[in-house]
Amino acid sequence: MRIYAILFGVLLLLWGSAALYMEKRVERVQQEYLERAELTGRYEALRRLWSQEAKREARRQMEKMLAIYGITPNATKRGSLKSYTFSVDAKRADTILGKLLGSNLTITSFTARRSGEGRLEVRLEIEL
Amino acid sequence: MALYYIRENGTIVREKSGDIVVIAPSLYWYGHAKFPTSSIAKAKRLADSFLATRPASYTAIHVEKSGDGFDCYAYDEAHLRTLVAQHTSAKTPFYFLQQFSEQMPLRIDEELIADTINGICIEMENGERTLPSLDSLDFRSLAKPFNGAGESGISKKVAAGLAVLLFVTAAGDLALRYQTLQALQSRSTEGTQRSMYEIRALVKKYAKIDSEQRRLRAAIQKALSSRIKTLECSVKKGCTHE
Repeated sequence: MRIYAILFGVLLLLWGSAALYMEKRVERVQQEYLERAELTGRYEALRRLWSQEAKREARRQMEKMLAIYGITPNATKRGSLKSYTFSVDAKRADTILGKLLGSNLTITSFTARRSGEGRLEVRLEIEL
Repeated sequence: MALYYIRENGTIVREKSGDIVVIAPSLYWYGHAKFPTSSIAKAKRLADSFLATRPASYTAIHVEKSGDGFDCYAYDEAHLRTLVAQHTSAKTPFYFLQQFSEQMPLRIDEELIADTINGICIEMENGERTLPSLDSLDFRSLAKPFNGAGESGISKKVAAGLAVLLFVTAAGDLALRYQTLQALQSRSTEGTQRSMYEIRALVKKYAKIDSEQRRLRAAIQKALSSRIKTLECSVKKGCTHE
């Protein structure tokens, strides 16, 4: 009978140790999963705004928007930067500039100057 | 081996101070029977009826396999324990004299010898005969009715069955835990091809752009809300206006 008692003891010990080890592993994997999910969520949110595809789409939307308002910008490209120079009617300036600033263009520099005829000369440099 | 021997009148003869008690036939009821079962538990229930003519105080039953049948013993456990407790500790193993029947005849103390007549053990006075002492017996081969060891305890089959059951339960439990772990691990890595290191680097890069752009836009909007002639803003230098 002693051998059975030893066998029971060894089995219980092994079972307990293995169960405890797996419990710890499951806890660690769950924690890793949560951390990864949080990081991935943040990454996806930022990627939608600032990835190359998002930037291209934002630039396309801007050009489309300027065309709708009848504005033809003077565009020049320098390295990885592109400049748009255009003039807007002061009455429409708030709307147009509001839309530009509300978009996810990666603006590197912005210049605005009032001209005499109630217009605003704007120079916008964005990252490609 | 040292032993105690309990005689009919309840006095104990101590050959040596030691670890065994042999109970005299007058203190228990004995019978051999062939029950149609191999289960000790069932045989014990059957023995209760089989030994029905015993004294009313002999309520405790002990059964052990012997040949084709079972040796059945009935005794007054409280009385025996009280007798033995007067002379030795409660943990001392007890044996019925009948359990030594295969090794008889033998000497049990200075004045008595034990012998078997018609399958029943008896004790008798005979100081002249030269017989082996109980000291020479191999007690390990005997069941111990009072200390829970030997055949009267859990049978080997039951113990083996319990061991197998425990093993299967443990294996099942661990298999389920392993499956859970695997499922969590695969869920943790699915969804993106990028490593955590890459994702952390990209998050850092995008977060920097996000922060710079928010700061620049806030500065531009603040400047545009006031009457200005010229406004110059850049990510690095911030905004200056007239």
